[in-house]
Amino acid sequence: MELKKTTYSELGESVYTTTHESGLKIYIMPKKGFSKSYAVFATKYGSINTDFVVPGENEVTTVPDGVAHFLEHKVFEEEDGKNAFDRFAKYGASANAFTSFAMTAYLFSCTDYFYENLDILLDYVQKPYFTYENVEKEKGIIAQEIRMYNDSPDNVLYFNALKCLYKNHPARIEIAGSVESIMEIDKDILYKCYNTFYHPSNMVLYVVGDVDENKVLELVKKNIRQNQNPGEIKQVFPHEPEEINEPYMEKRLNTSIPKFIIGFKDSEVGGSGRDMLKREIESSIIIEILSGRSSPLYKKLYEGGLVTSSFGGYYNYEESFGWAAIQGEGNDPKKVKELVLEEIENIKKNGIDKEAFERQKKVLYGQFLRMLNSLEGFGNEFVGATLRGSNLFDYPHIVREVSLDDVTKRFNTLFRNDRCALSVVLPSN
Amino acid sequence: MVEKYLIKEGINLYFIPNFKFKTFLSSVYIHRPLDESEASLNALLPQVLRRGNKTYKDLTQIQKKCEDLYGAHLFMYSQKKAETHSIVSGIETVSDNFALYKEGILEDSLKFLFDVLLNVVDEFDEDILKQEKDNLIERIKGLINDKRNYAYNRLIQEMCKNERYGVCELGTVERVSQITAKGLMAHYKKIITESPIDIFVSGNLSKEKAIELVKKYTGALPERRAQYPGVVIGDLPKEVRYVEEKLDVTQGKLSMGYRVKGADEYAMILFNTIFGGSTTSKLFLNVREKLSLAYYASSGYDRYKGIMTVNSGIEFSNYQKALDEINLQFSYMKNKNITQEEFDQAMLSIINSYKSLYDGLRSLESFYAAQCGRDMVDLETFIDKLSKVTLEDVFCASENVELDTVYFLKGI
Repeated sequence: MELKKTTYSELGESVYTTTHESGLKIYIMPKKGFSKSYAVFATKYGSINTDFVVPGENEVTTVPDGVAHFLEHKVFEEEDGKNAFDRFAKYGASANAFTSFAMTAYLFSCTDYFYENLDILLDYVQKPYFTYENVEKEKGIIAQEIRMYNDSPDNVLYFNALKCLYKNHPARIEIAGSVESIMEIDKDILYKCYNTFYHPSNMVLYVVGDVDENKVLELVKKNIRQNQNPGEIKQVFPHEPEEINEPYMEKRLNTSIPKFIIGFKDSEVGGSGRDMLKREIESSIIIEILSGRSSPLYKKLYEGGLVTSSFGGYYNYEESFGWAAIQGEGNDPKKVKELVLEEIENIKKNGIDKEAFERQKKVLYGQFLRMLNSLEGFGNEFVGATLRGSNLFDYPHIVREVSLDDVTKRFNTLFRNDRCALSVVLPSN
Repeated sequence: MVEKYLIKEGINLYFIPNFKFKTFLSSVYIHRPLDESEASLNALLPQVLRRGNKTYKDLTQIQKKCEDLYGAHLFMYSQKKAETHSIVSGIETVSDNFALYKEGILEDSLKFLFDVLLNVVDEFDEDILKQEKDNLIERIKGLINDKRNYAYNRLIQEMCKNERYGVCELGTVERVSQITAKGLMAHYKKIITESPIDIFVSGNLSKEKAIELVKKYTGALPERRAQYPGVVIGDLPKEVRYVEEKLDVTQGKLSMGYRVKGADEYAMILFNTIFGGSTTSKLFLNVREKLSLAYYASSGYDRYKGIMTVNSGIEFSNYQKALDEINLQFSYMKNKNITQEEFDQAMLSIINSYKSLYDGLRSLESFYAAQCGRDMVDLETFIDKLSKVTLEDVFCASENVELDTVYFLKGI
């Protein structure tokens, strides 16, 4: 295991990388002068991975919705009835975990005892302890969590947008699954998914802070006992048509003002890590040009009282799906959608404003720099990108090289009337 | 580290040098007393100022300027800290050494910030005023959307209903509706000439440069004999008040408020951390982990106001059980039933949180800005004092905390 150092001098950053014999990829980013250190141990396994082929098997395994998130809860549990939080607490670390569509990440940050804490992180994530009792008990806790999400207008709004856009792809399912689906989960299912996806070959370790890279490596050698790489896990997704599922969905919840997401399903997905990063950058630029705060559309909507200041768009994607969201609050979401589509046609007809394009490039470059201020913020993005096969440090270069032609093509692909859906949450009274 | 410099009477500059970040931050705090009669004006004013001024005529021009400054964050809002209602205007942009075309972003950003705040139009536009009043009213009505926050705010409202602290920092729908362009302009002129102002500059620049730039752009501001709004610490309650409210929700929220009076602030920070401020706290381990009574259960301590609160999300049917368990854990705190291990872990956790403040420009600024009008304690000194608290000190503090109000939000 030899460390390779890459320096990004114009950004004042550098990264050490290496791969352990088990297949675990390791990234260490030294940050002199920071008080905090941060570590993420993540697996390429999220809520969308309900169908897969275990390495060495031929049959597709299908599991209930919500297993990845259920595992996230259970991995913290330890054999003596305690949990990993107790161990981190002894060394003052603040530990956490999260599950997204395509990854589950275990992490901690601390200002002292970094190596002790890293030792704990590498240890507990590799030591599952599931019993009939502890799995049953967790169902109550997770059911509570799901009910809380079901109460949250923003959460319902978001997943209804996905349900509108996707007929079959599991992106349409809530990360935690449903109260019904988690009841089907048992300890055998958890072990099967754990053994498949928590192999080091499917994982990444990322460390950032004022740390010694060689000491980190020693800890990895000590803690990662597996040395066989079992090969690729085949992820299986149902066929997803290019068309959307439903153009409109609404739900009444406890909110004072209607909330909406106008979603656009992207027909271009996947490709190389760099392709995906480029697509993300181009999409972010055109979303800002269409609906950002300096756009004519924003002015029209805001001054017309159709939206509040919390109006804006963003691009969401993983390797197997991608979509744009234009989100806001206002009393007439259907009218907003109409005006958004009208503006899209205007831009298609008149072309993208060159000045706006150049400004948005500066904005993205600035955002990237800003992200580098935050150990956690940058770390989480970096790990997500790495699991998709992208190098986040390519970002500023791609921003500079993207052309007006590139974004014009992107605009025409992404913003299509027939790939557009509206999700609305209305006040219940 | 923070260095204070008097720009002129009533206007201070606080300089926080920092070289490890890629951005620069500057914020202006105008301090007002928290009061029902002007809370709505203080909340509305920053929203109207953000809409345009003599240099940048409208929202689009302001936004274009932000984008040119590499997507500068221009933020304007009002916040409450104890009985102080501050109007905050700030900007965060990338440092000059990272500019792609070697342009000077720092000075341009400061000039822009002070343009927005000081180069104000002669009369506020009626349309803009109406839009921002409508937006603010929507925000006030929208407070109900985030149930966790809503329950906390309702608790504070109930607990402090006879105090100014119970006033909402966004104002009220009625008061906002009554605001006129003339009234808002009169308020602006009053606060900009009379209120104490604290200006923070943090990032990769010298103190001399910071002083020079701030002096240059605040030249038009007059000196003022300004007093910071004081703080009112409520008495320890004689009995507990219970408040229940029904809303269409599927999860109940149980929030509890405690008064703290006469306790050492540093010892109280430890008290709160042991009680419910970390993942090794009594509340987390018992209410959430051991008894599974709540999805979340934690406590927070506002050292400026002398209030500690517990916030939890529970099943409606678990109300009595959760309340009893929280009370039981609190009685352990009061009866000195705290182990050395609990204390040690809380200490590590809280020191970790405060040391982490060094790693963010905003967090560092907030730490100091919260102390405006008090004797400012350096973060290093603060951490040192905190680390010297003993278990015995926590026992002492426990005599100065009492439950005041229990608020329960349940379903229909």
